[in-house]
Amino acid sequence: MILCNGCAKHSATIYFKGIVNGQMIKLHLCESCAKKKGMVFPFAKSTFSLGDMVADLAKASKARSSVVNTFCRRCGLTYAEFQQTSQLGCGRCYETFASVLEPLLLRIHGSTQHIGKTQRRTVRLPAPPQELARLKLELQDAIRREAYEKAALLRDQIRQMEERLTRQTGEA
Amino acid sequence: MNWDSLLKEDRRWMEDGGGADRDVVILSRIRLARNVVDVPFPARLDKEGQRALLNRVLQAARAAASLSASPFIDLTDLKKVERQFLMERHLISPEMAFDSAERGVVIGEGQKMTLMINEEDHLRLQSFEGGRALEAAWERADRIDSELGEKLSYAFDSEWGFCTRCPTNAGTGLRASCLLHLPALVMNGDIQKVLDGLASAGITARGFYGERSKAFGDLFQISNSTTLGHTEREMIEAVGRAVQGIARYERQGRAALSEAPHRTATEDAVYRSWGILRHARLISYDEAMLILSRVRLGLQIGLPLPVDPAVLNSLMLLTQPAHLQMLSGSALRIEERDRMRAALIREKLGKP
Repeated sequence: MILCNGCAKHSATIYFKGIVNGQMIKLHLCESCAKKKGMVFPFAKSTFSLGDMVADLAKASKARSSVVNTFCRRCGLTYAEFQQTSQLGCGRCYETFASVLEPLLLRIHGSTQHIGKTQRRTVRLPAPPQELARLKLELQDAIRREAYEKAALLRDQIRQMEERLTRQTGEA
Repeated sequence: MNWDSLLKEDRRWMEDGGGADRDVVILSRIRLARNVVDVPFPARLDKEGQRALLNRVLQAARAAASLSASPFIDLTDLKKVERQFLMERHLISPEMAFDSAERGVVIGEGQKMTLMINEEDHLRLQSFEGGRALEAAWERADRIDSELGEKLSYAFDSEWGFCTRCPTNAGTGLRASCLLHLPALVMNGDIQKVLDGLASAGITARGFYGERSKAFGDLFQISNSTTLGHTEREMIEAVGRAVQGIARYERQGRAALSEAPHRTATEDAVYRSWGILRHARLISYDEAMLILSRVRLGLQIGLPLPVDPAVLNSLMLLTQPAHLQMLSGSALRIEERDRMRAALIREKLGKP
């Protein structure tokens, strides 16, 4: 049995993983502590307001100060615009606003791991070059050492590199 | 665009094919949302950007085996009533019908699929089947999506899946929905209870034309509420199971309505509607949808009404406002429309 990280009394039934303030956070919580922390589970509630949720998360997340001045370098979407409309501007926004999107996606869908169909051209990538392999090893090492800030940075680097690779193969 | 053939071809496939539960389920639909990598979503593109993207997607469609010969309609060339007509056929979304962005739609496989370009996302692929047949609709959508994916690089995140404008569609980008006819549950008042029970299974109910629209003619759309964390097939199965459950409730409701003590009241409601259909001279769209629904219920519980259910389905399409105006070839004021609607219904049902 895993004890709740909140009260350390009850058994944890909910696992939360997210990036807050650039740091990977993993929490095992019991139901009542999860509720206290304002987590909402999509299957338990029939209606929700996406706008409220985005605003909530911004308040709850200490990431606010760092994300509030962010804008997407591809399409120019600012954090304020995202907060207002709950809509993204381009695929790259998913990286730009990853720290608020991760908990948001978890709230909407109850999951942050896509297991469905994949982009064909991504799948057909050639073996990653050495640099990518090195970063992935470093990431594993960082996670082992629980250096989550470093891990988050590495993850972003890896993601960007993989995207570049996809694009190169994509235009061929 | 050959509107005449589109008008005459009243989606026969609603009657054909192997879809199940046809007494309750009218239509199954699969929708996939996709975006081209490194291009801002349509709302953040100017007209030139939208046009360039549209051409790029159209080029990919032309190179895809399944779409190479399918008609393409440039929505900017159309009058408002023509766009509304396509919306009434569910070939484009309401957003696309009432907006002036650079948009287009490819209509393929006998109106069984459409590819909307520059909707909320760059690509919105829809696939339809009559009755409950989400698997068949998914197989078509999956095949065409893969063909297009050979030509276009999609915005895709290895962890979060396909990137969409709204985070509620991220992941699979899949909406699997069935259009259900639920007159008995509406009449006996159980509808809210049944629909409320869906939320815990991750299923949502919407109106006839989709999100935020109201339920015309006792028609409801049942679909998955989340798009990330399950495979497409899991989501499709969940919707299919929910639809089968609702269909069982609806049939129980119909059985109860056709027995004492409700039998007479039900027959009365059906035959009053039948009387209006046969004799009225002015019928509004809302009223038409309601009475067509009641008459359809009458057929389902075995009342000997001299009408083919296919004619009722076809009338549900043809009596819509833009359809009437396309049929008459001119813009119609509301009262003219109501008169023409009543005349069209009398004509289709045969002279009394």
